[in-house]
Amino acid sequence: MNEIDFPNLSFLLSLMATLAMLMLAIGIKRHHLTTFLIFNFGLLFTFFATFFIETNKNILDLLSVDNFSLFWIRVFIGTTILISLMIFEEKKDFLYKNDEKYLILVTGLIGAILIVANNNFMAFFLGLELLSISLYVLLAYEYKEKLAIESAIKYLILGSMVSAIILFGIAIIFSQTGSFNLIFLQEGSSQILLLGLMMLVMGMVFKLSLVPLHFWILDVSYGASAASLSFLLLISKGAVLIFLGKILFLLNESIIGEIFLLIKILGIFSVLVGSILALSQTNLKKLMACSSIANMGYAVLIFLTNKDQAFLSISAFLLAYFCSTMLLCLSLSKLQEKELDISNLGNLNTNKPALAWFISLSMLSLMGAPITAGLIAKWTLLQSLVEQDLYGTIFFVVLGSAIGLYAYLRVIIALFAGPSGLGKKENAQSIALDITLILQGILSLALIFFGLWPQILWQLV
Amino acid sequence: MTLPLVILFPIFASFLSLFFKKESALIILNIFVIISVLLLLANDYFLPNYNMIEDNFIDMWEMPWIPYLGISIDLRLDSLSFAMLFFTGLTSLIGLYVSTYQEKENKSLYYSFYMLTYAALNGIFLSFDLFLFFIFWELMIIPLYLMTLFFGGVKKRSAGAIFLLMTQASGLLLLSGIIILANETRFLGQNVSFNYDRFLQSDLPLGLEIIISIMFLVPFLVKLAIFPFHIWLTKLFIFAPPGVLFLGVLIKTGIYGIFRFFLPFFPKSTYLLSETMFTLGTITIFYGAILAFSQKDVRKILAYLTISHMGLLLIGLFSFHEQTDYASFYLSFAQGFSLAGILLIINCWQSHGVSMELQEPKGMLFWAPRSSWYMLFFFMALVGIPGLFTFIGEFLILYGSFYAFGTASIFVLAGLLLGLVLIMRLAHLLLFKKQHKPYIIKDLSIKEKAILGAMALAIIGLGIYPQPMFHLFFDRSEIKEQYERD
Repeated sequence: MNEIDFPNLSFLLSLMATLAMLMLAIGIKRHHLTTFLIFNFGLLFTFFATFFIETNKNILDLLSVDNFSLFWIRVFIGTTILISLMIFEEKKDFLYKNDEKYLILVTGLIGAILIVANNNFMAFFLGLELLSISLYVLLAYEYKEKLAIESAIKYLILGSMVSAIILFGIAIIFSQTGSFNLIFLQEGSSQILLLGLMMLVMGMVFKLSLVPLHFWILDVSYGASAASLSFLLLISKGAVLIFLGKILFLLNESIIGEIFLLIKILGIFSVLVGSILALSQTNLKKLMACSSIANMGYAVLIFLTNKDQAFLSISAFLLAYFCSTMLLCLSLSKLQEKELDISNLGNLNTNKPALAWFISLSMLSLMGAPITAGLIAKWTLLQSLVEQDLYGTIFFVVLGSAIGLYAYLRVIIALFAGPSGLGKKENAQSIALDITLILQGILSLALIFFGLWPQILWQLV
Repeated sequence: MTLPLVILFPIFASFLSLFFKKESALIILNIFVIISVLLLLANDYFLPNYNMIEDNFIDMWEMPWIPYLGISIDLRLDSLSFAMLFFTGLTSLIGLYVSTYQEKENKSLYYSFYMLTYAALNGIFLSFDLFLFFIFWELMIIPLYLMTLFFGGVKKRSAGAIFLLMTQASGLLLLSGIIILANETRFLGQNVSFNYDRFLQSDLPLGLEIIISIMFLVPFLVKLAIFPFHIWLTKLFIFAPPGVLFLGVLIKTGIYGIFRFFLPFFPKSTYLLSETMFTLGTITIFYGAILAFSQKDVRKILAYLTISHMGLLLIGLFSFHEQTDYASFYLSFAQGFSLAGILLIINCWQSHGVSMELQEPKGMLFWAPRSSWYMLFFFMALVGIPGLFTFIGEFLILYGSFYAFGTASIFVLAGLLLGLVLIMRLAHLLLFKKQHKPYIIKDLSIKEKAILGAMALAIIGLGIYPQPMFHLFFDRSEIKEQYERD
């Protein structure tokens, strides 16, 4: 090997350096604040390092970063910083020593970056496994809680099976194209290639919790802590979605029709099933899981547009989804156990009014109310579908959105008009030094801001 | 610059309202804002800048917003918009007064929402870019919904939920309709655009036009509470806070929407659907009137009566007579005005402890004579006695209906007569029939006398001589002549 390609690899190198430093710090002396600071500095340095990457250059024949992937790498880094903040404020620190979670976050992030910025199936698989295993550990971190272990084991078993299927799919593709590089997908057109691609796509359908394979996410979300939930819903799904987009748009004309049909059907069913399931949920975490099913259905339907538009539209949609879900997860991290049930939310308005407003704002955004980013997401989706004259799909999207409205509405109702205790102000918190709340405020402003000036979304990408 | 101010000023006021606690300060602030908005509009309307007039618009303001999607903030003021804005301002003022009756804990929040709804309503009547219109359309519902959740009556949750769900779900239809139409009107090489003028040029094949037009029509019908979609109004009328006068204006947005967007964009559909709309309208008139007979609560009777009147307005819009279109708007103002007066008095009575259930007759004439006479007067105005200004609107609509639909309009007439019988029965039960338990209530205070007196004078005055109002609101062609002269 020649010299290490420093500018292009610097971000990965800095992540690994962060990992090493974290391990050293934890090994020498456990101090949560120090670990947290090392983690964040490392990530900030990585963010800075991403500005030195030359785009579209083939790095080690494994990675290739284009503008689109670059944007998403930065978004993932930002999201991970927010997740680390949630972990920092978790209250169970005395029992479980949360500082090792930062190690898991770093490995997960590396995995996500590998999934997003590759041009080689091997790199994709490496990243996928890295991400999944990090998630298994993150979910099971609170090993004394039965719920946590249950969710981790479910995800582990199902996820490993799916990884095997993905690997088999990749192997079949390799047998047809003769290389693991993604470029060769463009020329392939045989039926066996289609078989391999289908296995790959079905594996990703599992990871994205689209319809026939969505059952796992309800239970896994129920047992996850807020930080793990956001990692699962945002980073894991986001990375897989972007990779799916990449390979879909490399494919040849002849095979692509079949896969598009599959995506259309799965997308429509996910939208419908996600919305209908959300109607009967009473737990906020399960509600988030169902909304994630529906949102991934919408996202996957955006792929049906033509190539040039698709990446912009997907980025706009995903960014809006990220903002709403992140806000909701941040709020969830502040809620106590019993308040996760919708019927117990009535007290929130008297005790922690800021939290109530943030939750209702994120619910409004998920509903698609105007001047929030959620409307821009729905608008982008409908715009892409109309351009391709897919009126049947539009009908189902509108139907699914309408059904889902009530699910989110119930939370808002419970917050402001629910059965409340007689205004007990005992748990009223002072907002003064609560970083999470400040971040929530910033996020909600961003949400509205994106709703008002969505042009920025398109300029950023 | 006036036009964005008309929208921004109330938003700013709504934000400011959060910082005041005393109700008097809030009311003064809001009255100040509404009156200044009205003055701004009047200034724009009566002393227009002649250099700026294009086509038939008195004022325009445009700013590009999302160039990627071809969306700009396009605000235009023409005579109809001015009429609607003026009406909204007036009704909001009266609604502010009515709001003082209720006991609320968190008044600043209430007035903040009130101003937000007012801003959104203004935005609807001014926007000529369909994306912007959609945003204001959805935006006007949310503060009203939150108001209901916070300050409503007993069954506020279900009332608010049904309201929000119906309007939002139909809003989704509107959204897809707008996007489909925008893409259909995209000509070769041009970017997609949501501007009004672009949509006017659309020339679609008939089947597609009918489908898209129904996607546009259903949300407006839902807002108008026409027969299959009227459920939200009956519930919300009772359980919404006294600022329910906004509901009156909310309904008018349905008519505005049909007139401004449905009729110009889809001429073929209008022609084909006009008979269906006539049938729907007549069914609504009868439905509202008949169901109102069995109601036990005064406000519910009024709600059904409003539904009945909306049916009449719908018929007016779809008769192909130019005067009748404007008559629909005129009648909607007139009825809204009278309804405002009635609601004022009802809230006044309610705050004094008189319950509005009609299990037993009330005989208010004996306990509160002055307000009862005003009530009777407004009842007559609502029904359309000649000499009062509602009559003219009803007359013109009936004329247009006979013109377009022939003898089938007899059903419309029958429905209106039912309404008349209904009001007479209501007046009898509420005002005239004496009951044994006396109500000792304070009659009208000076403020109320002033407001009601002014309203009554307006009703009679415009009833005898309506031409100024028509001239003012609906017929500003002289501006164009003056422009061409100069």
